[in-house]
Amino acid sequence: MNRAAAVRLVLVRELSEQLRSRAFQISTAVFVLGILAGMIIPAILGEETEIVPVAVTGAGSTEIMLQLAVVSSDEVAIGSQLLRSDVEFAPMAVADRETAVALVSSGEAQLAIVDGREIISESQPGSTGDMVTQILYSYEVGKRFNDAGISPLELQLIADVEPPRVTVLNEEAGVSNAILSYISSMLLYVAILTYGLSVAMSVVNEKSSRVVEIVLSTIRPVDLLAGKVLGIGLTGLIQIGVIIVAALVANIFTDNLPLPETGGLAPVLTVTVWFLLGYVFYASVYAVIGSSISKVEDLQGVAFPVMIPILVGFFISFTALDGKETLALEIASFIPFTAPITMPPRMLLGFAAAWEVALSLALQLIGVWLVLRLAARVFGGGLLKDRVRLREMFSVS
Amino acid sequence: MATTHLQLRDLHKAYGPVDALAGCSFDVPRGSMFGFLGPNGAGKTTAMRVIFGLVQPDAGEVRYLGNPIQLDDRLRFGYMPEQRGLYTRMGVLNQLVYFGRLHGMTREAATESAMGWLDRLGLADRAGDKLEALSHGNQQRIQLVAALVHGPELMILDEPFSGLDPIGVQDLGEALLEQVRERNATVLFSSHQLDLVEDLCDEVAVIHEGRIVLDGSLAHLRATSPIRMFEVETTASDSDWIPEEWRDLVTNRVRGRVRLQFPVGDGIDPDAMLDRVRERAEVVAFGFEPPSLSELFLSTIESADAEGQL
Repeated sequence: MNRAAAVRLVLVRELSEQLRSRAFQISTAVFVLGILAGMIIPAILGEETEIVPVAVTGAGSTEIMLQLAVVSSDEVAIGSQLLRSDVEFAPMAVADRETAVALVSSGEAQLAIVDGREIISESQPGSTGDMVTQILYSYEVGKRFNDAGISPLELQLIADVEPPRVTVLNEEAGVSNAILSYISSMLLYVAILTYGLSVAMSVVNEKSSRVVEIVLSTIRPVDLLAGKVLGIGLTGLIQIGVIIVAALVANIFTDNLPLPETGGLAPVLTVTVWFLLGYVFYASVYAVIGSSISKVEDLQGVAFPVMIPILVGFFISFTALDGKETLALEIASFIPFTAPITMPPRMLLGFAAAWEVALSLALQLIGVWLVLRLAARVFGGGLLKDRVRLREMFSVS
Repeated sequence: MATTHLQLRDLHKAYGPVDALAGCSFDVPRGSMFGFLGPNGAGKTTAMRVIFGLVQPDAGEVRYLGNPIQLDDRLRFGYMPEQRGLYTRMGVLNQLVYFGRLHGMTREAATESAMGWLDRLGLADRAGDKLEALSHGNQQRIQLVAALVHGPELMILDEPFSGLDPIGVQDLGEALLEQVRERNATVLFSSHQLDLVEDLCDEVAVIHEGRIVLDGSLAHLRATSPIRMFEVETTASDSDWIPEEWRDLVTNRVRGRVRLQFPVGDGIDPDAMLDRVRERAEVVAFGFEPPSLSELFLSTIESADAEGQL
C-alpha cells in the first residue's frame, strides 16, 4: 500500500468518526445557535418601540405634553443627536407633584415632569431621561427667546445649524475592524486549542485502547500522525466553515456584522490560512504529547504548558483593541508560537505591512516544518510504551 | 518438505540491563500450526513485535519467504497483540472494514469479507453497533476477525485463547485449523495452555530467557526426547510400594495412579519396570510413552535453568 493511501485511510476514518461524534455535533450546534441568537435577537428587539408613560404637572404642562407628543411623531427634530427613534412618549396630565410622585413610584409612569424644571424618576433616568432633559431645555430656551421677542419660527431659522463634518483619516481602522479582529483572534484561539487537543485525545485514545499496535503493524507511525492531524484539521475547517456561513447568512437578515467594504472574503481567508498554520504547528506538538501518556486523564496536566504561549498570544492580541499598535503585539506576530493568533489581528487592523506579513508567514512555515520533523521523529517511540518522559523520547530517537 | 514461511535469525534486543531477546532463532514452515511457548517474560511478545517492525532489534533479522521482511509483506499478516484493542466507540463493521483496508483491501472486498465473518459468528445483526455495546466474549470474536478479515497468509496471535470459555476455545481452534487446511495459511500463536497446543500444533518452539531452547515438529520432539514417562495404576492405597530409587522420579500422583519420568538410556526397559511394580503391588493399568508437551516443556526449562546456573 502506498503511503498516500495509508494517510488517506487514517484521515477519512478520523474525519468520519469526528463528524459522527456527539461532541462535534453538540459543539457545532451550540456555536451556531449562539451566533444566531447573538445576531438575530438584538435585531428583533431593536425594532420594537419602547413606550414611555410620562406624568406632567404644573406650569407649561400643555406645551410640554405637546412637545413630547411631537417628538414621538418624529415631525420636529429637536436636539436630534439625542433622539432615539425607538422611544415614544405617552404624556398624561396629573393634578400635582404628589400625584406625579405616586404614579412614578407605582410604576404607572416612568418619569414625571414638574413645572418643566424637574424630572422625577424611580432610578437614574438614563438615555430616556437625557431625551426629556433636552426637550425641556429646548422648551425653556424657546420660551425665553419668545419673551425676548424672537418667535419660534425665527428661532428655528436661526438655530438651523448644519452638523459638523466628520473626516476619517484611516478608513480601514476603527471600531468595526477592532471587533472583527477580536472575533478572529477569539476564533483562532478556540479553534487551535480545541482541535490541537482533539489530536492529543485521539492519539491517547488509540494508545490506551491498545488498538494502535494493530494499526502500526500495517502503517508507519508518521503516516498515522499525518492522517490524524489532517483529518482532525479538516473537521476543524468544516466546523469553522459552518459557523462562518451561519454568521454570514444571519448577517444578510440583520446586517449587524462589521464587515469591511471589500466584503467578508479577506478576513475569512486570513483566518483560514493562519488557522491551518497554527493548527498544524500545535497539533504536531499535541500529537507527541498524546503519544507520551497512556491515560486520557493524564492529558490535562501535560497539555497545559503548551497552552501557555497560545494564551499569551491571545491576551497580547487584546492590546490592539483600542486601535493602536503595541510593541508586544508587533513582536509576538513574528514568533511561530504566537504569530497565528497575533498576526491576523494586525492584518485586519491594517497595522502589518506586506513585508511583515511575508516574513511572519515564512517564519511560521519554518516553524511548522521543524515541529513536524521533530514530531515525526519521536511520535512512534512512545506509542507502545505505557508512559514516557518527553526527554526520554527525544534521547532514544 | 514444506517451505519456510518465516525465519527469525539471531534476534537480540536489550531493554536496559534486561535481554528480552538473546539470540532468538527459529523457522516457521508454511502451512503449519505453530505453537510459540515460553514462561512469562521469556521474550514471546518482543519477538512478535520485532516480526511486525514495532520493535527494532539490536541485531539479527526476520526473513519472509527467504528475503528480509518488508513493510508490504506485513500487510499479508494478521496480528492479534497480547494487549487486545479495538476502537470501542466505532461501529463494528466500520472498523473491520478499516482494518481490512489498512491491509490493502478495497472497501468492497473488506466489507464483503467482514460481513462474511460476522455472519459466520452470528453477529451480522450487530454490524452497525458500536463495539462497546457488545459483550466481552463477542468483542473478543471481533478482535479475531480484525486479524483475519484480510485473509492473511500468516497469522501471529499472542495468547489468542486466554480469557475464552471452553466453547470459545473450541470455536477459535477450529477456525484456525480451517485457515491452515483450506488456505494453506500459517498460524503462529503463543499460549500457556500446553494441552491445547499439543492438540492443535504440529510445530512448536520454546523460548526461555530470550533464546530458543527447543523447536521442531512436535512428534519428532516427543520421539527424540531424552525422557520417557512410565505411568502405573495400582490398587495400593498408599505409596509405600514405590521403590526407593524411583521416589525422585515421580512427577505426578493422583489417587492410585503414579507417573514417573525416566531418562532415556540403556537401563530403560518397560517390561522390567512393570515386573518391578508387580512384585510390590497389584497393577490395574500401566503405560509407557514419550513425554507430553507440557512434560517436555517443563523438563526443557528445568534443564536450561540448570545449565544456566553452571
